[in-house]
Amino acid sequence: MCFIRNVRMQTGIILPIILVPILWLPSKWGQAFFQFVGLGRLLMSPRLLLSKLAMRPWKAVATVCVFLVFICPSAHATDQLDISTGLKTLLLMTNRVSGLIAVAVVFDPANPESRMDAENIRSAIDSGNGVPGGLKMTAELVGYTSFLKSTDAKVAFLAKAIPVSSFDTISATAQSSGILTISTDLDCVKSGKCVLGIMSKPRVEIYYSPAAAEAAHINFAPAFIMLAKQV
Amino acid sequence: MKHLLFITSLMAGSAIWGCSATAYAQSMDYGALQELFGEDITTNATGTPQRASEVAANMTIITADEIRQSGRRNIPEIIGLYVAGMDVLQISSTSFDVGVRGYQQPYQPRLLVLVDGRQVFVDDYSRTIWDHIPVNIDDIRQIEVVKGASSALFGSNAAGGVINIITYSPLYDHNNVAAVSYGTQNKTSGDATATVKLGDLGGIKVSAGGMAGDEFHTERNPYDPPLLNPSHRYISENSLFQVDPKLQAFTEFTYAQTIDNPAFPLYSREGEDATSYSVRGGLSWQTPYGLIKSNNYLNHDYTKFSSPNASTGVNRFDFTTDLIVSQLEDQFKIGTDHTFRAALEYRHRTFSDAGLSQAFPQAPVFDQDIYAVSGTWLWQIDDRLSWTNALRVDHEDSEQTGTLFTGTHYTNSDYSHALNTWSANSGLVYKATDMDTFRATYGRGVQLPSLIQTGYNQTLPYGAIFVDEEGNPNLKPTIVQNYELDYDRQLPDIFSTATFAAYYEINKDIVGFEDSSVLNYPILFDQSTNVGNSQGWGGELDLKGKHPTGFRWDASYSYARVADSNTVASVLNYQGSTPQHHFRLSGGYTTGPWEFDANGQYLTASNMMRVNSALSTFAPSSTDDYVSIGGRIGYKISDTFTAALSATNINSAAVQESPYPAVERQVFLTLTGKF
Repeated sequence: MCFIRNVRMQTGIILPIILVPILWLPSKWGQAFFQFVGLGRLLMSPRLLLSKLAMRPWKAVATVCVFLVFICPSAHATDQLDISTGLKTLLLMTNRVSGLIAVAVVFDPANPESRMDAENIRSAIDSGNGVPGGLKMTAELVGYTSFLKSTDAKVAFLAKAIPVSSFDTISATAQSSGILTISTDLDCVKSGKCVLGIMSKPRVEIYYSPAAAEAAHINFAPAFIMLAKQV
Repeated sequence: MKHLLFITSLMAGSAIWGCSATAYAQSMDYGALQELFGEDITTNATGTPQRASEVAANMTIITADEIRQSGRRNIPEIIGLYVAGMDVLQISSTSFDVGVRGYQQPYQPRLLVLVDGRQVFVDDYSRTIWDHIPVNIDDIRQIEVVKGASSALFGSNAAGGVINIITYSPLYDHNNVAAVSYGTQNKTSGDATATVKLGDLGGIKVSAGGMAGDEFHTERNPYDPPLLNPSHRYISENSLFQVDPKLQAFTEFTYAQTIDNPAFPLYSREGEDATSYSVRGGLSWQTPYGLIKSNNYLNHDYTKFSSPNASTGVNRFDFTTDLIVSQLEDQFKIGTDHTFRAALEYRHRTFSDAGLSQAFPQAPVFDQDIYAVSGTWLWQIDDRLSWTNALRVDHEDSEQTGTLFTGTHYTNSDYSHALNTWSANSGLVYKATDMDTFRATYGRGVQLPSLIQTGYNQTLPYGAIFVDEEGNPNLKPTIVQNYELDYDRQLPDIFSTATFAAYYEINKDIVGFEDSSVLNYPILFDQSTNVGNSQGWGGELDLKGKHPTGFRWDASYSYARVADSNTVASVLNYQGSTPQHHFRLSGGYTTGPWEFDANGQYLTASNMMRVNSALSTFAPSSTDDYVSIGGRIGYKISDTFTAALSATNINSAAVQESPYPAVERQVFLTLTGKF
């Protein structure tokens, strides 16, 4: 991740300067631009560029790699910033939960990585780290297979590495019990099974499923909904 | 009658939709949203909430911390300190005008100023009486400054830019603060804000304050009237109620009274005694059709220019301006990538001369009804590219009632006319990487002539002088077109953000007073006309950052050029009033209970017009380059109390910043308690 971010920083200015003329400028302007910057030999139409790349497989591979650097992974280990970001969203619910809030940290019991992630989340919540001021929370580890029985929780925080096949089960329980589901696995929210998807790096992005929220009777402030990315 | 029908239909529309509401900024929980997203949040670019890094406009947000660290107790100086491209013209101890990228003039008409979405800009001359804004400086959450035409969202007068002052919310925030200050010029001030929470139902906030002091004693123009000692006092109430999880209602009342010494658009100074009150209410309702808002308010402003001209004995102008605004809007999303805002607005403006009306009950009264339809569309094309568009169409009906004075050039029917205008904004925002953001924006703004310029009518003898003040009903609005390219670069290695902006601006049909010096005593004839066009271009560079060890810095340079092409003799001289180069540098350090801040600025010469006779004739008056240095030392005595010593113009007892009297050094001590 660090490598990817560093590369993005370093190429941040250069790539747009190179790619924008190729993609957007009319051919005459593009030619003039490349001649001006001394890169006249790169002049070619996109089709010609592709054919050249096809003749030089290593260049094609390198090009693809450059673009891959710009593709964001959708899931990662849950860290402190993810947890605090997820919990801060509770302050923006219009039907805000109050009192001692029980948080179910849902994980895959068969996956040690998932369990470890869940224990980190629980420990962060129980220690109060990342819990927004004014809220009191207690966390409990819940295997996704037993999540059906867990109805005391008002919030379900999904640990990493939970099987996609379990999303239906988690979602059904959450929706019937009015539980806010938060996950760093964006696939969960994109499939409409989780209400919120959290991405805290390189900058905070919140993904919001109106369908999942409506099914769980969960309401957020309009400004929050406008700022979140609806899926 | 027409406007009553329109208001009724708006209200009926609100009821049909289930309710209504506004751009009432306090109904948004800024604190929670900024804490969550890790950056400033604003509604000032599109009317809908956006992250500051994503807005399709050149926007600077001044935070509450920056306001405190500035050491200043007035808004214009704070803006001048932090926003590259904003030039502050200090007329007297408490009177200011703020120009956007040059275009400086007394009674600045091109910059719209709002507090929590309510206009505090006064429509008589189209101006802002900065010291008259009923807000506690310690109750400001943030000041949002947008450079460039923003009429498509805010209507006329946002032709050069818009400033929205956001105060703490009575519902979401618990701001209880009091401050007293004493300093040079015998300036004594006190401000306090108290917030009462009504459980989950809502909150009420009351702010009150006042100031009194002496005017600068620096040399003044012999043709200016005697100056008044400045003072102000204000009280405001804000409430916000959570009627149910999806419905909020708010109210606001304000009262302010101010004495100051501003400069007229005709470059003379007058003592001014302004009194204002406002009443406001609205709703915000989350419905299946989107977030429906209504914002309704009445502003009443009465300004008495009480100081007679010593040379002529003429005592004129007691202006009353009433503004009724009713806004209804719906914010909604279609799909995941399209955010819309559709809005209807009605404005009724009334202007009269109360002094004249006392002597002549049939004296003219000028009315305007403005009906507007507007919309914004934000298209999030992908994660990195967004496109924002806004369009507004205004229809204006004007009417002059009462009896015009003998000898006037116009008739009542001349003043009764209709005008249609449109304004637009379009902006592309491209986040090339997580560190780089590019913006390309276009704005078409409309600046309507002020009520005085288009509707005032007074033709009377004053002793030996015959004063002929006539609004010109044939004025065309000024059209401002702004083209801009911006680039923001995050520099995490040095904990900074660098911003670059380049712009080009065209102003067509600028409205200004004709140069009355061509007319002969004993007749004084003031009439506005479309004096010509003007072009402006330039840019800004800014490097701003904050280190975890407590250091902070902000360095900027702005370059502005203006080329006027007047077609008639006018008193306007934007080309001369614009300083070409403006450097700013500020830095600070926090350690334990101490805060140290210093700031300085250097401006190159300007050549603003100034009155040079008792008969309102004018000539350019040059001002040399100048440097101004200020600073603040703050000490946190306890968790509750902070003491701060602040100073401006440390480098000189008085700095000549304009043709108006030199700005004296000011030093003051402030004790602030947060409860």
